[in-house]
Amino acid sequence: MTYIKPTKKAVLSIRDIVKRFPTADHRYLTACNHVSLELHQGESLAIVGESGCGKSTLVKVIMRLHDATAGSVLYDGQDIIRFTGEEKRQNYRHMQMVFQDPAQAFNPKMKIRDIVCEPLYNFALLSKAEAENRAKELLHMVELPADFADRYAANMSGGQRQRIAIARALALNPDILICDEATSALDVSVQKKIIDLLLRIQQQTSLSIIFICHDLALVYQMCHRAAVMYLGNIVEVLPAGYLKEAKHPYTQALLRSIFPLRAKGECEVATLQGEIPSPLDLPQGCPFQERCSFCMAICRETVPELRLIGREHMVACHLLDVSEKEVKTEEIE
Amino acid sequence: MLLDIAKLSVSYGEHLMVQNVDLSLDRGGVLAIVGESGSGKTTVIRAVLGCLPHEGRVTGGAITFNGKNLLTNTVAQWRQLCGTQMAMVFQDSGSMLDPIQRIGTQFVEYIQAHSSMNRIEAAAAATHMLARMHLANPENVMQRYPFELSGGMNQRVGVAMALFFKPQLLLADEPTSALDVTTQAQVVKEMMHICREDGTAIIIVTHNIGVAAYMADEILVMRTGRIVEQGPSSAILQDPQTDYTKELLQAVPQIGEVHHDLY
Repeated sequence: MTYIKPTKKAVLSIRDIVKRFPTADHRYLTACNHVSLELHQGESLAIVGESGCGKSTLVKVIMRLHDATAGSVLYDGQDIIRFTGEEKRQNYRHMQMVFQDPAQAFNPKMKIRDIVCEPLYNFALLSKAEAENRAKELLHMVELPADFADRYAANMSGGQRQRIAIARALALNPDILICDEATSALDVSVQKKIIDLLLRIQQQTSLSIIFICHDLALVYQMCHRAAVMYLGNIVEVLPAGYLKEAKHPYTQALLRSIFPLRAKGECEVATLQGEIPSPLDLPQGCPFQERCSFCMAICRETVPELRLIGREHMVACHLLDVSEKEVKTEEIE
Repeated sequence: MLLDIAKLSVSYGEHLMVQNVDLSLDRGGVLAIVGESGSGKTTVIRAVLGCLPHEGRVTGGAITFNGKNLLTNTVAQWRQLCGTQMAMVFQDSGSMLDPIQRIGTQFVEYIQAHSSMNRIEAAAAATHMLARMHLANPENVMQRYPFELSGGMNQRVGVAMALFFKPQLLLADEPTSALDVTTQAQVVKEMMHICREDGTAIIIVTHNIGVAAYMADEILVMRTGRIVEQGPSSAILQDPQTDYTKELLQAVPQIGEVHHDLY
C-alpha cells in the first residue's frame, strides 16, 4: 500500500462536541462527551472503539444528521453546526459519507447511473444529457466496467455496491469523506481491494478521510492517525503506524484482544473483563475506571485530560502522571 | 471418529452449492471452515444438522455421525440428536431467541424439551450454565428479554443454550462475527473453555482467520462450494499450498512493527 504524506493544515476542527440524547425516563444518554479532534488535509483519521462508544454519533453530528448539544465543528473557518437551511445543504458539497451496509444504501428502483449522478443533479451541476459520460467516469474511478451504469444495485455483490457508494460520495469532489464501518460487512479479500481503492483515490485527490472502524489491524495498515474512543470520550490519539506503542490501558487491551494469524497455542489472547458500561450515567472521573486494572484513587475523582506526550500522540490517563513522578524522583535520587 | 463427511454435494434447487466435500472430525477435535461469503461453508454445517434452508437438499455423499448415516434419519431421530448430541450456535443469537419471551422462559423450555427436569431444576441449571459463560448476574439475565441485552450477552446466552446438554459436536456459524474485538475474544475463550471441559468437538465456520487459527487444530479452506485446501492449522498458516489460500491470508490485516513514518 502506498500512502501520501498529509499536511498539517486542519481541514476540519471538531471542538468540544457534546451530544446527549434524552431518554424516556428523563435521564440523559451521553454519546459524545467533550470530543475535540482535528482532521488534517489529505489524512485518513480512524476513529476506533467498541459499539456504543459514540463513534458513529460523532460523525453523524459532523454530517448534521444529529444536532450537537454543545460544541462546534469548524470547516473553512465557519462553524458548520450553526448552519441551517440552504447553507446546511450547500455544505454537503464538501463532505460526504459512505455507510456500513451497502445493501441498504441505495434506492432499489434507481439505476446505477442515476445513483452515482444524483448528488450532481441535486446541486444542478449536471444535466441528464451529460449523465451518461459522467457516470462512466465515476465508474471508471472506482474500477467498475462502464456497462454497470444500466444495472440496479440489487444485481451486484457487496464489494461492487460499496464501490458504487464511494463513487456516489465522491461525485461532488468533496474535501472530506466519512466512512462509517465501510468495509466491515465485506470479506477480507474484498475489503483489501476497497481499501486499496480508497488509498489510491486519496493519493490522486488528497482527500481527507474519517474512517470509523473497530478493526485495529486494518487501521494500523491503512490510516495515518487513530483516535480511540471509550464511553463518549477520546482516550488516545496516535499515529496509526505506532499503535503498538499505545499508552492508554484501553488501547492496549484492544490490541491484546486481536486474534493474530498464529496457529493454536502459539499465542495467547488476553481479554478485557466486562462490557462497556451504560452511557446513561457516566461515572465521575475516568470513563475507563471500571475495567482498568491500574485504577487508582484519583481515577475515581477527576477526568484525565487529553495531553500531548509525543509526536501526534495524545493520551488521557492518570497513569502518565504517576510514571512521570517516578521518573522525577528517580532523577532526584 | 465422531463425524465423517464423504463426497458431500448439496444443491439449492438447480444450483449446485457444495461439491465433493470430504472431512472428518475426532471426538473433542476442533475444525475451522474458512472462506468468502458464498463459498458454501455454512451450507456444509447446515447439512450436518439437517437444517438446510428453502430448496436445499443433499444430492450426493454421506454424513456419518457416531457411525450412523444421518441422511437416512427420520424426523423423530433428528429430534433425539439435535440439541443434546449436536447443537448449533448462530451468528446472531439475538434473532434466534424469541423476542417476546424472557431468556429464562425460553431456556427452561429448551431444557424441558430434551430432558425430564421440572421447571425449578431447569431454571437452576440454566442459571448455572449462564454463569459458566461468565454472564454477570445470571439470575437477572434470566428475567430479561433479548432486546434488553447487548449483542455480546445474547451471543453468550446462545452459546450457553447450545452447550447445555454437553453435546458431542458443536456447530458454530460465524459465532463472533457480529461482536466487537473485546467481546469476541471473551466469547471465543469462554466457548473453548467449556468445550474443552466437556469434551465437545467443534466445527466453526468463520471468515475471521485469526479466530480460526486460535481455535482449530485443522483448517479447511473453501471456495465456490469446493475444498481448496485442508490441513493442520500451522501448515495452512505457515505454508499455504494454493494461490487462493495465500491471497486470503495476505488480505488479512495484521499489526506488525512500526511501519509507516508519516509524521
